[in-house]
Amino acid sequence: MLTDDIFFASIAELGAQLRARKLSPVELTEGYLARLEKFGPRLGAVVTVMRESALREARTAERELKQGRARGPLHGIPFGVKDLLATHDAPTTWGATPYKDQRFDYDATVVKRLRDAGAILVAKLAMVELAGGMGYSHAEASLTGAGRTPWNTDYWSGGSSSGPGAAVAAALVAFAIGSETSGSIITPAAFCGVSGLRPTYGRVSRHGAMALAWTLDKLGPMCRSAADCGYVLAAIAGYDALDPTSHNRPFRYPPPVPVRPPRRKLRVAVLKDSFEKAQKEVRDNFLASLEWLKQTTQVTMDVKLPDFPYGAVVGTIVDAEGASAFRDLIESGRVKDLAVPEDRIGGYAMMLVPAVDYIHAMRLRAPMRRAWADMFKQYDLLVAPSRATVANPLNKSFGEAWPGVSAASPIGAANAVGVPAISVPNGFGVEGLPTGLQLVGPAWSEDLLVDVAVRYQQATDWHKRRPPLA
Amino acid sequence: MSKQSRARVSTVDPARRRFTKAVASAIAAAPLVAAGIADGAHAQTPPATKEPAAPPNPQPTPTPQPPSPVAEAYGEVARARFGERLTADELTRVRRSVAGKVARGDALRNAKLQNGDEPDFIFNA
Repeated sequence: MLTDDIFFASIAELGAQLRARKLSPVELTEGYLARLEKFGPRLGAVVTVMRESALREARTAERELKQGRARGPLHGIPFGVKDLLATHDAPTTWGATPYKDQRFDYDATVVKRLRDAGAILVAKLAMVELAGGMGYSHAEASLTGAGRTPWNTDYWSGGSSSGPGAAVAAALVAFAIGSETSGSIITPAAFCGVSGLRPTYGRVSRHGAMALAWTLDKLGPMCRSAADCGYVLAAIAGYDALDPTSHNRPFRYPPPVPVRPPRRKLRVAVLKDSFEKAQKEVRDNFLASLEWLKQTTQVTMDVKLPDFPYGAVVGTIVDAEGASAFRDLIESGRVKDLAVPEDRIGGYAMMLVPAVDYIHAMRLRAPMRRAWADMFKQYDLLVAPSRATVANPLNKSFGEAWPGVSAASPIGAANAVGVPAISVPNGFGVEGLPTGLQLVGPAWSEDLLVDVAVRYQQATDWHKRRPPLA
Repeated sequence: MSKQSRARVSTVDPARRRFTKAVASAIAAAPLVAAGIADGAHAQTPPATKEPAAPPNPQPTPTPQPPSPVAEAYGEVARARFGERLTADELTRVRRSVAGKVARGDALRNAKLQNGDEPDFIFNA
């Protein structure tokens, strides 16, 4: 009988035990499957438990490890994916009733790479319907109902990667893959108290992933530590001929050489207005994180983002690309089968965005990227609270959840320019809910982001806390 | 959603159809006019109004404004294209959403671009 210490262990710890044959991949997979079946439904975290195929993969891993044929750090490690990634052996619902029986005859590149690395796919995880593209404002916007954070199940697990966030936090999987168009990894990572890494646009192939907005969509790891994010990103990053936006920028973890500039302190910018009017506990936890950063880095307060209409740019692009991606669904009227009223009509207004506005938004992205590149000549990292509040209560719309809280966020802007970010837990707020610290870096700086986040987690233990599941 | 309210929305008299066609034609030119007006405006950064794939970070609630004539016209297009499927209440909400997007388009136009600023995607032959 495996203990919680095993289920909550890091990838490095699990991998060491698996390779030393102190732990069986089959036994570990059985254990995670049992947790998925026991806790998954009450957290609204799971769409499909893949018991048969997972055990088959686990037996293969066990055989190979017995023969001394270790494939790498993920060999024998069970994981889950947001249910927008195609898999040949399970439905892929995109979290939405109109697609509940949808099947593909291939695996998404990310799934294939993880399976090739010996990781074991145990579940397709819940998500906000169509990754939130129709403009949802309630947590119930999903085929599987509201995702619940395991820290307090009256509160939301975040979106749109709601299942990966909850499943990782509750140790229903060792790690998960989420996706982000504008905030969908960072938000559930913060609301569930896990580490979530949004890679640079183009770092990870999206082949086989549901498209919401082609020029914004990214896939990334959601794990119980920043180091785990490093291991997973190393397995999934790199060029893929099936995704023309992917780059030949492999990522190695652990890094082969030290990532920090050796002769000077890191320069960290604190986003102006990002924490002063956030929830009190969010603010306090962020200030405590800054104190840690100040010990080893040069921190500059009140840094403004380059002056652009980020919200308008991201909103216009998601509307135009999303309306095109789901044009058939919208024009056929099948949007009526979506879970929440706002999603049933959101597509109609999206269809009317003028082409000129879309092109204008796309034209603004080049000067925006240049301005951000200039900003990152002055600073190595930008930091802010991951979210200005803890998780939203399930019984309220997002607009009503936390009145009176107001803060600037880098999420929309950073997604518009395609740069990476990582969210790591940095304490707790009201109702025992976690808060997060967000680090944003220039394009292709995932090695630096993971390095700083790992150092933060070496100095703190927020990422090791366990939610009160029974 | 009642059948009665659906029927009410989809009953469009010929005069309204003609008006809708005229409005749809006018809209094609409207953004160009507005872009011309905004030519001299400085780029500005309004608060993020939408983080569509994740919920928005809390922001100050803007004071509701009456829809502009352009927004009303777009609302008519929405009614003409999708009204058959919408209740009166749903159509009202679609019109409100359309008005928000028209305002967002204004924010885009206020950000100045040069003629040579190309869209940030590359077409390959």
